[in-house]
Amino acid sequence: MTLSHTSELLRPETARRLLEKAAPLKEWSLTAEQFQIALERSAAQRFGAEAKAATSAKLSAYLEGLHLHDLALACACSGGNAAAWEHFVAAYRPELYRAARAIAGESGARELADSLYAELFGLREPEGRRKSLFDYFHGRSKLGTWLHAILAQRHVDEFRRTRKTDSLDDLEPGEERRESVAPAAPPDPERHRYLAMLQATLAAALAALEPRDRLRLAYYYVEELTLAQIGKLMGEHEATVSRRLERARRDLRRSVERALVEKQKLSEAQLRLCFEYACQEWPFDLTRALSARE
Amino acid sequence: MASREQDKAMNGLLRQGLARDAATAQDCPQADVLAAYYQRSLDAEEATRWELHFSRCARCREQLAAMVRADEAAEAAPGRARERSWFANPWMLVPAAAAALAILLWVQFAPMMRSRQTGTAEVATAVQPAAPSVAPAGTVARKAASASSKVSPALAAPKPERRAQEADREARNHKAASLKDSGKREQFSTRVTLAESAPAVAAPPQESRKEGGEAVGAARIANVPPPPASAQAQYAPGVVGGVPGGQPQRPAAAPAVAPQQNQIPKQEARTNLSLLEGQAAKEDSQAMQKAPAAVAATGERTAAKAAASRLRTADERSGSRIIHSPDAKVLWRIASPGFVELSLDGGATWNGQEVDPNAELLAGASPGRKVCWLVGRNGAVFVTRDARTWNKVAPPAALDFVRVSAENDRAASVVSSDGQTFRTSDAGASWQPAE
Repeated sequence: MTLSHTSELLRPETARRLLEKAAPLKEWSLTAEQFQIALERSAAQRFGAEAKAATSAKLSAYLEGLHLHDLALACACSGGNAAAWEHFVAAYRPELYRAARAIAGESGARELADSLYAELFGLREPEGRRKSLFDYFHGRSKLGTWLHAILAQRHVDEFRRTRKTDSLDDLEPGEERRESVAPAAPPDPERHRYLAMLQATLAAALAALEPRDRLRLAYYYVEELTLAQIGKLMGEHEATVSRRLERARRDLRRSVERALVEKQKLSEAQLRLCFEYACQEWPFDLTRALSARE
Repeated sequence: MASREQDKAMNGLLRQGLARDAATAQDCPQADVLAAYYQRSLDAEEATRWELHFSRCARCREQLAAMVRADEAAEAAPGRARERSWFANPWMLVPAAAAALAILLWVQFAPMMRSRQTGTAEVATAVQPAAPSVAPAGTVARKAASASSKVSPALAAPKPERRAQEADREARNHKAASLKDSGKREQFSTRVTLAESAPAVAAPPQESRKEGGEAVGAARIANVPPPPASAQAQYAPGVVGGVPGGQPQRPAAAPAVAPQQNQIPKQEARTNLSLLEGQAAKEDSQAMQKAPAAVAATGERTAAKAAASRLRTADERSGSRIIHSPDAKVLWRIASPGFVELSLDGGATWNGQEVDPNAELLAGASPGRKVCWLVGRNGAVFVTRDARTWNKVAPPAALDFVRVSAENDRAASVVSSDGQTFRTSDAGASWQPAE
């Protein structure tokens, strides 16, 4: 999408100024026209349909905040410049493969990195234009971070596609098995109802959480990240993460207990039973426990 | 029902409830937005909008988790220069700047104090303000690195980036200590990643409690196999990718040390340490004989002793406290004081868990795939029954326990450093002396 409004920021002289600021190497042979296209594409991606309505100050701030040097490199590589590609290989190939190893492990790293590498190099279409993955880099982050993001996306998608569970709960034959489903004939006929109430109440409480609280809890309980890692993702110190996790967890529990007591009219003893039955379900797959009843 | 059990139930429910998040692919951001969010270069409005999506999208969270784990693994890789400045994190500057300031003040004022003692009237030169910037901290780090560079490469001291991790660990330990009384650390523990559990890192608070001859303690550890060939055990760089649904991490094949690799005999490892300590003492002696102008070597001595202490810890750690369970794939490893690592793939990859930041763990036993007992100094006894949550067990006495054997999650025997044996059959509710 090419922006058609005549903001001063997208005039050729603006593109030249930003190109000069980007300071690409001379041998990349990057022209101002090529760079202008990349800038316009970046702005269009950011502002979308609102691009024409974007104020000149907003647009200017956005363009000035881009990683212009990296954008210039990506633009030159996308254009097929050999020197730019050599520069990219020298500067980023080791990091690309290192990140792939860190993300996918040794066995999957090479395949993951090689496929990305090929797409970055690009394919020449019948019309003669090279189509490269670099076209999708818009300078909003460092080029290295963008490469990491692509690797992570592809690895996760592949993993989700071919997901296998490898859990401590996969027990060897003959190994003593702790009950993980509701017993065929539960002694308490209310067990099923308690579990269903607890699951529904918790789901409602989770849905009502602030997004950042929910995100923090998900990073901690599902992704099993450390406090430091969560802090890095959320821009917080780990002590702050710990404090807010504690508060969110405490508030959730109170919310669930209050809902069960006030809305479901459970007594304290019944409330304890709810948690006790949930605790007996390992690994707390209430869905499976509830399904087993049906 | 005890509150702890309710907490356990709540934790499990949260894990399952949040793991079921799903979002349609067309809602997920492109890589450039994901990267910009990760780098915190989105504007506030856009960041808030995407966080709302991430809070409900397991796919995006997995991708972000993979990115942050890959970053830490890359930073922990030996020999790899940090891309981001070590000094970017102001929290890391605090202890380093304090140490640098102390050294600078000593260097500045020591001559003045000596001249006063001799009656010489000198005007103290203006003390250079300790710049809370790169140079002093870097100098401290380089001194530490150079002091340790004289020792065996196999037991090389941490590089500056490792000191950053040490400083980070120290800051966290201080935080942990401040939160201990409120019980919050029992609620949320800092899980150790590979980067945090780099082999040559030692928590300075632990160092401060060490006395001379601590290496002898290694000799008392009779419950672990000999240390591996290198103190810098090769950590698998591929421990990333949270497994959705609350399942343990998918094993990522990566170069790693197998438990049965060639290993330095413990005696040789202790000999190396003795040589190092001897070298440090020799340097100390030589420094004392130098002219007063060489008082700046105090920093070198301090750094050398610190390096020796860290290496002791590294050796104790590389004493490969690998704890084998009945399942050959499930291994535990005491990574550093207070932290353990769990492997579900026979040692190819490891995931860190914090047991107790103030505990110095020495030995362990794993009678089941999900059960592990840990013991250590000052009555430290812990047990996990789900390979995840660690429970502190009341010890029979405040002794240093150097060995443990266990039959299950309730029955275990612990042996103290002075040879006393205690047995419990009720998970530590009561202990009986044993022969």
